[in-house]
Amino acid sequence: MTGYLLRRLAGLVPVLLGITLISFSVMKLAPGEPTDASLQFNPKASLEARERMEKLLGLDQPLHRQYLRWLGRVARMDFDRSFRDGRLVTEHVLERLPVTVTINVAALFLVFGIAVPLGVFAAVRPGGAFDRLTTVLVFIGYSAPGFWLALLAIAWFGVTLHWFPVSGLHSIDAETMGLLRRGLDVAWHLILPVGVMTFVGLAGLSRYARSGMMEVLRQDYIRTARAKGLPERRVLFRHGLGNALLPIITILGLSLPDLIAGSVVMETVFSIPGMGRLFYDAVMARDQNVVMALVTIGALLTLLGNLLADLAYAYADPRIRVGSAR
Amino acid sequence: MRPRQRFARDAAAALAVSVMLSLPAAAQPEPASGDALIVSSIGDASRLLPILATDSASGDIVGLLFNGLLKYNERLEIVGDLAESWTVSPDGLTITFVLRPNVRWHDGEPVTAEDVRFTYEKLIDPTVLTPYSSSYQLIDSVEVLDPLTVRVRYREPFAPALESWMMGIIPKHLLEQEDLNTTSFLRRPIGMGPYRFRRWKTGELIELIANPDYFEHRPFIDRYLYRVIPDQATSFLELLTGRVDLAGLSPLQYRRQTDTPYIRQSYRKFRYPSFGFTYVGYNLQDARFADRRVRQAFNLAIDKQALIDGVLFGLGAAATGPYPQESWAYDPSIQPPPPDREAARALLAEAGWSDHDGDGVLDRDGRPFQFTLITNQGNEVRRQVAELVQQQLAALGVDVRIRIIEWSSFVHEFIDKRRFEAVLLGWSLSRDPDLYDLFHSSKIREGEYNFVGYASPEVDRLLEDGRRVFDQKERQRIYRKVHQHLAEDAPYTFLFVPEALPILHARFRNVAATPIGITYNLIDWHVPPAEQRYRRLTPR
Amino acid sequence: MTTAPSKKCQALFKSAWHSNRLAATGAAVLLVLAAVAVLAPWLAPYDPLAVNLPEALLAPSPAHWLGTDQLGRDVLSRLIFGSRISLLIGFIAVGVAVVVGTVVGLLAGYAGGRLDAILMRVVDTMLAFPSIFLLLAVIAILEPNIYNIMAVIGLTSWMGVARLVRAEILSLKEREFVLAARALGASPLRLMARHLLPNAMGPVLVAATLGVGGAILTESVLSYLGLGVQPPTPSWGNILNEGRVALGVAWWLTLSPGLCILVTVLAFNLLGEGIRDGLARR
Repeated sequence: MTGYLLRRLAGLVPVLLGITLISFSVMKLAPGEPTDASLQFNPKASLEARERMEKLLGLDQPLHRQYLRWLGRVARMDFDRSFRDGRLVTEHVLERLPVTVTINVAALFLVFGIAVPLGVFAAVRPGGAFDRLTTVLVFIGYSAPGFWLALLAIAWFGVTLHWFPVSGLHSIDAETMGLLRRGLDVAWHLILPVGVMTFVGLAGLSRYARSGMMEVLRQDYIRTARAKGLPERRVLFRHGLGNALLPIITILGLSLPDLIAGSVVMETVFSIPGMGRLFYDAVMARDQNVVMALVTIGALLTLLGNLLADLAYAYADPRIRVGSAR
Repeated sequence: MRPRQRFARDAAAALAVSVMLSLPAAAQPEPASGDALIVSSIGDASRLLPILATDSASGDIVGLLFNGLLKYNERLEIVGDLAESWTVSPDGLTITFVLRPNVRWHDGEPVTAEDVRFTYEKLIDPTVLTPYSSSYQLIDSVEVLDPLTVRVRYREPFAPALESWMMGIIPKHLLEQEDLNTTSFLRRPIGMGPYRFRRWKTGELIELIANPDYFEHRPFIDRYLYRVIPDQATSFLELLTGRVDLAGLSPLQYRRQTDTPYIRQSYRKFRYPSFGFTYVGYNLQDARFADRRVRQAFNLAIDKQALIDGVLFGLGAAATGPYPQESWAYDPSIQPPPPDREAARALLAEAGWSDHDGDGVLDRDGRPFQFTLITNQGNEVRRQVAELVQQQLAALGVDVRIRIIEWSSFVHEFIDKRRFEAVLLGWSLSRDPDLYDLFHSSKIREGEYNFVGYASPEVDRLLEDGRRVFDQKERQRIYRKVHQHLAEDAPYTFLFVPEALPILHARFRNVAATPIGITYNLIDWHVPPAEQRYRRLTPR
Repeated sequence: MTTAPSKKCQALFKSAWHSNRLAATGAAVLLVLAAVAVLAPWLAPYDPLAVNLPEALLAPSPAHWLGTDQLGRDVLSRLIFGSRISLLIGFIAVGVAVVVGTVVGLLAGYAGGRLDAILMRVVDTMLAFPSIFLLLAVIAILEPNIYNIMAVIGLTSWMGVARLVRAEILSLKEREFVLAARALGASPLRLMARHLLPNAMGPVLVAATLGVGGAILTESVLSYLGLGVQPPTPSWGNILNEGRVALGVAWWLTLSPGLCILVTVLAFNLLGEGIRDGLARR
């Protein structure tokens, strides 16, 4: 097992390097310079000034030198500074991470809590009314453009019904509130975004749960249990559910890297300063340090997540554990 | 105590409000202070230091935290801000500023001439990431004569210099040991302006509070909250729910979306001409556009009023040259010619373009008159203008293709490298009519702003002279001539000057639209206590 | 008996049809949509590009069933022509993804060993990128015209197909009919083309169907960010994006394109799920 683990980890390194190289090249291929964002066609900003800025930011160095310098910094866990405001990239990330993670965890929680029972119960009677109704509902969330749903939700629940705030994370006077009230204030602001994200995310998992459960219910041991005369509920929960849950747990492992990924669309519509917007703004402003840092971290987490999922699967499935028949 | 929120207003109060609004401010008792102004912005600020602030959000905030030596008043005249008075020497080479006494930084230290010199030193410092250095390159020296007097010597007379001293002054005692590019001051600035910095939640909100020691007087509005709302649709919805007080409207929103009873009751809309213009620029190195007749023909064929009526819903004015009507350099004798397609066709025929093969498209030497009009992505108004211009020129017999390009690529690959035929863009100008950077023949290097390649010896001379003379009457004569030349030569087809369309919650009093905007007297805005929405944070 | 893919497909669809009404509905919707797209010039009451400023922002009426937009263009006509663009983007993007993914997956699955390892490494690398990065960055580099959008969406979604194909090939490789064909001396090319590929296409078909819906949604997201199909060419994504700023007054500009996208993508999803169910039942 340890040998396998080490080999897999070693295999990650070239992939990561490849990713950093590709993202660097893409950013450099994109026409435009990081200094454009600051200058915005300002008649008062002369060509000399722009050239000076480029020199100061190290952008006049040959490309390979820039890349290697960046690589060297990353090896020391230094992601350098953003071109847009000069602050450390790490600071930017740490600022935005909590919001994104909170929203994603909340949505994940809700999705699991709703989608799994939905899928399982639909599987009990495939093709029936409940199955068809939930399929359509869940697919609507999956098939509609996210920002459209978000906007309609805001217009209806926020403007017409006045139940929830339109956007943002805090009320104006949030800082005068006590800790508890402030927490509730944030939660109130997050209901719409998390709600829309949950609605959009239900489809994938519920279909998986449904097909997994259907697969399990077809198995011989289920028929045996039924033939033995066991009550239906016991058949379902004791024998069926447990086995259907295994692949779902694998999915949980695979979703972990997505926890830090923010949806730029949702964050823009709801004015939430998260990782998605950070990324989008950085790409548009050619802020390569931020972009490369985010791509690298994201890729690392994805690769680790895949590895963990593989390991968990291998561990849980006794057939694989007992030794390789390879 | 909960913030008082009022959404309904009874008729008596409405009457009282309208009466009060019609009285001059001086006739009222001292206005009550309190409440907060919530402003919506598409982007977040990046650096809160005047000499480094380049994006508009940073600029907005910095404008409230810092003052310059001079400023424009509501009649667009140059008046003193930090400077109590100033004198320009007869030869135009020296400007001496006398600062107001008793102006203090937000930390209590006095603002002195040393700070002015320090600001200048940093502006020309090659290690500081400031793009504004060019206006200060002609300075020979900045001397501190005494704590309140500064003498600036120029190598040549430079009239736009006065405007350049509207740059916010930065504190020497806090910044002289700092690396301006990375100092934490950029996130927690200390200025001397009407508002003090309170907090900045990145990507969300910047909060400023009134400076009780401001040298004019303490602003009546206690708090200024700058909310970052990147989506325009969301921003409008926030306006509808009353969580934004001040926002800019698009022409469509102004005309069609803000007529609901709720908005009419709770908000006031303003309009004033913005200082800038939208234009079609022609690449003068392209043989087709090098011919002045072609450009003049397009000038006649493009119906500017139709553009204004259609895209701006009438909220703009046709432009005949590079100056809006409010500028003193504008020559009112130049009228926009009425659209005349026949005359345009005649001009083009003179230049060799007519429809020889009967396909509806003008041609010359067997090649059809077809070109691509490029513009930048993200500007709804400009996109619609492009489509209308395309239509209008098609009626003339010219085949126009439209290409919309993302901003960075647009600037780098197309504008800077002159890889364009015609471009649809806008300029946002400073009040000083100096257009040297835009139209002087020397400014044609890659990355400079005379990217159309205009070169006229007369205009060159006029632009050089206009910079060297301080007498406004003389400058007016010069720049009016520039206006005439540009209108005739038409390196651009000047389309229109759009209006700025702010909308503000009605509870704010003492607000008026002027050529310089509505926030020039922000410190005088106030809200009657009965209508205040947001409680004070500090017991003052 | 040797595999007869077409007969099997027919039986497949028949069984899927009868036992899955939802998928059938989806398929029916898509047929109608395809007809609309093909017959667009005859169906649309107005020229979708005709600017008519005096008639801007009209509510739905007998003259304009879905109202007009900010430039006075008829929304219904724009939506009808927009169906062409959206479907075109969907199909071609998926086409690109399927072709690239199938080739890669086939090679990897069949060849095994070093080639497999290298190709899968490439797939892993591409998958580790946040998809939005590639989309944004590439569209910003190239300009957002319809061809680039199709290519980019296709080139960022072939990886799933590759994995699917490879998995299928790996399992099929050891099946009797393949071993038999090999023993009979079939060349690798013939093996791949006649025996492996047709039987591997089941899951690919499912992925492709779902992928078309996904591509349409991606185009709408790109339009939201300003990087989609550029106006005046109408695509559902950019009609929706232009209209949403007018949400306060012109609800029809937001509701109708959104519903078009919703119904179309829903139909593709239901159909794809139906095919998957049908395959699983086999």
